Amino acid sequence: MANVGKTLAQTEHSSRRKQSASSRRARALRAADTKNMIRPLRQRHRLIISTLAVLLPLAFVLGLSARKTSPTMRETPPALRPEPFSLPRVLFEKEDLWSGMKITTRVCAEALPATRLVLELQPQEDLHSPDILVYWSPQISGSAHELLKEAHLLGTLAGRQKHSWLLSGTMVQAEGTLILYSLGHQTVLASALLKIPQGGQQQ
Amino acid sequence: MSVGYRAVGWNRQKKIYDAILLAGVLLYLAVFISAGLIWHPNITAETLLIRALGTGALVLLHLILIIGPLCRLDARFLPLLYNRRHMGVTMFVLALAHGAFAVFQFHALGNLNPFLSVLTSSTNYASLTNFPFEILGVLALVILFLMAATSHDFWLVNLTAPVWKALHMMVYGAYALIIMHVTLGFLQAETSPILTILIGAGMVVVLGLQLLAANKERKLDQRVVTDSKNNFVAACSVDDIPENCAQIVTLAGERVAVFKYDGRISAVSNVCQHQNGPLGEGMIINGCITCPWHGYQYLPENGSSPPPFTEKIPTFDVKVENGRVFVRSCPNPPGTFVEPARIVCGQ
Repeated sequence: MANVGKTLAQTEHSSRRKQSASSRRARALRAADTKNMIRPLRQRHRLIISTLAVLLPLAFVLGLSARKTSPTMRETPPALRPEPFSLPRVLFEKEDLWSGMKITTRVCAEALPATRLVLELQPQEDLHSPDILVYWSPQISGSAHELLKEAHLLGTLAGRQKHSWLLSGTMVQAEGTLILYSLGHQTVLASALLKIPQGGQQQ
Repeated sequence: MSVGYRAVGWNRQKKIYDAILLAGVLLYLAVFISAGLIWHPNITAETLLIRALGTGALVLLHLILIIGPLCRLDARFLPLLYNRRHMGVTMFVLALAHGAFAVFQFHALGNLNPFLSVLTSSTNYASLTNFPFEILGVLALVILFLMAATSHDFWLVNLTAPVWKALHMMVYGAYALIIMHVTLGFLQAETSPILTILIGAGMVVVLGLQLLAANKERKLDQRVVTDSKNNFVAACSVDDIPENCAQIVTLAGERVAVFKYDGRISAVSNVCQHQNGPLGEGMIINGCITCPWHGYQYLPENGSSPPPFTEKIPTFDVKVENGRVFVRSCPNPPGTFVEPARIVCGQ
């Protein structure tokens, strides 16, 4: 403690400020009053701490006990999602179509030549972006950073369950780009080129 | 040595203190953000920053609040007290940044003025679950601003130490507001018990240490030596006082530090003029009573700071008889010379 005090004594004096004569006089007058102020401050401090020691833990426990658990569901309830389309012949299946996202992509047909197709997407891990929408665009772009023009909304994607959408018209014949778009973040999460083989299954 | 005004009177100790403080804050933010990115890879940068700054300020506030009682309980913690005001200002800056980012993230993208939105977006004061906890944070920030803005000797001198200390006692109000801000805000949605336990433990440590220190002070205040006739009253034994140190007695409603040095005894007010530090817990260094808090010095025989400094504290008449120290119960005006009592061999 001696070293501490000595060090502080040698250093702190260098940081004091110059005072005017009037302020020195004022301080000298106040000095006598100072003596009588300290004990009340100590008593006030004791009172504050004693009060806090009782009330704050009480308020803390009350606040915690008022917590409500938010119900969470891993899957969208069946009533909120349409029955998935299902076609028997798998034309196309890929696990790594989407860069950085583990989503199984499948294209199925009833028969060849296909007049209508079903696109199936099944996330293999939780998707952490809000309000994901799936678009198909006739424009060819493997790395779209914004929603392409003429993009057709297919539907929503959430959870880990399989989602499927019917592709028809130009979507069946042409190459196109699939886009995952987060409505909540207003950003394109991923895009992938979708080239549907017309001759049979491609893994 | 200088008595000239400077915004910050830098010295080696303050630079070391601030360097450690800054490094600690940066290290905390880096570790928090890194751990946050590992555990929650999809978290947004804004959310991570808001949490890092908020928890950083909360940790610093806990440190600030335990330094005082730790110093009252054990003098080895005194170096932490030396530049605590810089820690307080740093804590305010972190809290302000936390508030600013939170306002921007949650209130700046609507039609309403962001600050108005903070105050009016929720008015469900009757509900604990949906309480507008933001208001608690705003109120705490106002208190912390007042404290940070007056954390300078300029304000200490002009407000006087008692007023300044009363103002800075509002930190306990700010602490309560912040704990409830966290409890009614973040903890309402937090499912992991770890943070709840940490905050509860922090509260127990802060309040426990404060209560222990307050109890120690109360015991000291209870040892009152009274005399209504301004006579000499027996304060303590000469042998009770270590050389170059003091025995603190409560006399005439306030504490008196009775110092023993070079075969002499002097008694002065226990209250330092700087921040009302306990002079009786300091030592006599280079012939001067030295405050343990910030090193302010006074001559024991007249209670005046050595030139060019001008601080003065009240002195007390003192005498020694049969190994007992007697102190007159009423103080002399600050700076009054009092002949030290001589300790005669055999007394």
